[in-house]
Amino acid sequence: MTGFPLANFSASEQGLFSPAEIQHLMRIEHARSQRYGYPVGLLLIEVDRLELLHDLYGVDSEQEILDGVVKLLRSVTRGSDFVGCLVDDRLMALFPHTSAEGAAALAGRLLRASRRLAFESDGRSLRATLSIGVSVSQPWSATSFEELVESAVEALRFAMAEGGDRFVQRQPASAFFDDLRQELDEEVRLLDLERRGRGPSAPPPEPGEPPAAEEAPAAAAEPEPPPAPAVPEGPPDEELAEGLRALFRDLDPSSPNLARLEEEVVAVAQRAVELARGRAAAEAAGGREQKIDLLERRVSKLKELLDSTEAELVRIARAKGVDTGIASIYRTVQGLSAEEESYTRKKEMLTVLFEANVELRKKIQGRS
Amino acid sequence: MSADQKQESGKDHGVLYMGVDLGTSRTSVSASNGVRETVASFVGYPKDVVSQKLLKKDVLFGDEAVKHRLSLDFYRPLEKGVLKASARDQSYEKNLRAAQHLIGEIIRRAQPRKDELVYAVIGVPAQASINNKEAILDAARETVDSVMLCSEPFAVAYGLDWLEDVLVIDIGAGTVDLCRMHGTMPEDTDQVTLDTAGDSVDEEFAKRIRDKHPDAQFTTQMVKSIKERFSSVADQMEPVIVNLPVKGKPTEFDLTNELREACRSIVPHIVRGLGELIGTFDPEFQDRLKERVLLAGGGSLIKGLDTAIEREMHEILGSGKVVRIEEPIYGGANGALKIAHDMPAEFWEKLK
Repeated sequence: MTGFPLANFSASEQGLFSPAEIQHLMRIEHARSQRYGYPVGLLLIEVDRLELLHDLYGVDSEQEILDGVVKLLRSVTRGSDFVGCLVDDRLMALFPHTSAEGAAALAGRLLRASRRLAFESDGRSLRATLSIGVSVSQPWSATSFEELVESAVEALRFAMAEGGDRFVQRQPASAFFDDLRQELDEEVRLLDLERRGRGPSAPPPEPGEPPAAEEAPAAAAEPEPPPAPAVPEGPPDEELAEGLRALFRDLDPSSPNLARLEEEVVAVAQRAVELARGRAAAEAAGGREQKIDLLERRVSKLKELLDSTEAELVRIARAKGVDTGIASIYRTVQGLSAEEESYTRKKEMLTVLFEANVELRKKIQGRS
Repeated sequence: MSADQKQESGKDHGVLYMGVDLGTSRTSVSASNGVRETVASFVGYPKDVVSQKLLKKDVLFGDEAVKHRLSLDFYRPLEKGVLKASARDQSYEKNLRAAQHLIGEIIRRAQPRKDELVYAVIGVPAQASINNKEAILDAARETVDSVMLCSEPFAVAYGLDWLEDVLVIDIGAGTVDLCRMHGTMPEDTDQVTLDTAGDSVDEEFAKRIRDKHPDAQFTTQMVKSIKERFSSVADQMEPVIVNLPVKGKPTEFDLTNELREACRSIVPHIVRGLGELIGTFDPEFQDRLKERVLLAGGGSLIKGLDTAIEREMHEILGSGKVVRIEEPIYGGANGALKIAHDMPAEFWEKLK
């Protein structure tokens, strides 16, 4: 693999490399992945409510928990597969050659294993849960290391804001928009081709030139060139009939029922041509319906892309510090509970306070 | 609130309650979304285009403003517990604007959602003027749906459910507010405001340093920082060994005695104020009142102050029992939050 040493999660100078050096190694690995075209996954792991655990159980328990999580990370991965360090009580681990699916699977394994962890402090059993932010840099996506980290940080923030004990995966913004742009460009190109009724290799019509459909062979005679097989080219019906009559003229004219036979053959031939034409028309109609279905599916997909774009914009807004706020724990207005111990006294006080505020408003309005 | 009213306002995703404590030195907020924030009550505006470009902000608050104060027009708009707007001079409008920005900032730090109703109770000093109250209401209305003002020491008592036969001492930087609770809403006669508070301790401390060490160079901010780190009235206290420049050279000073005496200087004023409130109370309940004294505010963090006040009360008033609240920084904000939560819905509607 990369030849880097095993993950160094030391926040002090006791490890083989300092956290700053480890992060430098991460940058190098990321740059290598961009150059040689393989994905790298970044996991940012934080123990939920670690500060509270510190306050309740002391600094030793905090260190024990962090050590436990590092050990866990090594146990659910191949130890040689990642470079990691501790930054401000968060574990940061970079996994080369790890796709988005792989990173998600790894985060899931880590969460499941963490739920089985148990620690002890002063004879009390503690449990810790994790929040994990996952971000993956795709090959040749021109995503910078900073974008990768920022995306993982944002994902971690989401995971913690949602209550912890979960992972959230985010794409770096630049990669997301590159993918989106490519998909939209492809959709527009296909729609344009279908509108013109041309294949990818056909030259575009000159300005003013009638659409290609109108130049289709007369036997097709449809407003749009159908994608289904067209009616086979051949002589017009009357020509066909004359051709068949000519065959009969070559026969012995004294044969009985010759005229009747000639007419029947011509009629059968004409019916066969009509049937073939009808089938071709039906296939063409079916082709149009297929095209409509295809367009509808593509519109639906574009709508999905727009929805995910909107969600991504919200995420980026949050990452840029545009705060959307934190929800209150109350869905409705509360008020004093009748079961409150000093209910009457408090209600009285609140009423006096309210009336004082009403009086204040009146005084202010009276002045202005 | 009815469903129709919710739909009208376009906000039907919850109700955020906020309790705000506007203090001379610190402004704090507690909210029902779990957010608790505090910011030093300083506001600064870049002096010129250069500083604006360097700082990348139009207005700075709290410690950030203090850090860059040399590049800022620097304000402390809540001095002496009221907005510095009573004198109709040039600084009136500027202080008013700074106070309004400070209020907007602390509300913003509570991170309210745009799709939620926001109901706020703001604790103001007992003797805030109508001008000040109007300015506070105007500032708050820009970001909340409904707002009420209440007395700060009352908010402290309400938050702790100490509503009867309680004396609250709220020691801030600008004022010490004493409030007598007797089971009903306190009136003006139940409240005393003293000017001798945290800032007075800073001034006394600075004076003593100058008297003892005339060559030491220091600012008010430096003195305040030393006080906040070491303050104590105890005979046995942590030595206050600090470095102050003397003609540019850092020099070590032992300021233990100076700080102790400065901190002790507010005790007699407080006990005198307590005596005033106790002396005018129903004689049958005066002893009970003396035994239920609640110490709150940032000044209550002075080590040993509760014991010192108790001792002085024993000497002057015959008895006394002082209890310091657990969260001096957020006590007022927590109490205001509880008031907001308990206020009936119809009251909030009427004040929108």
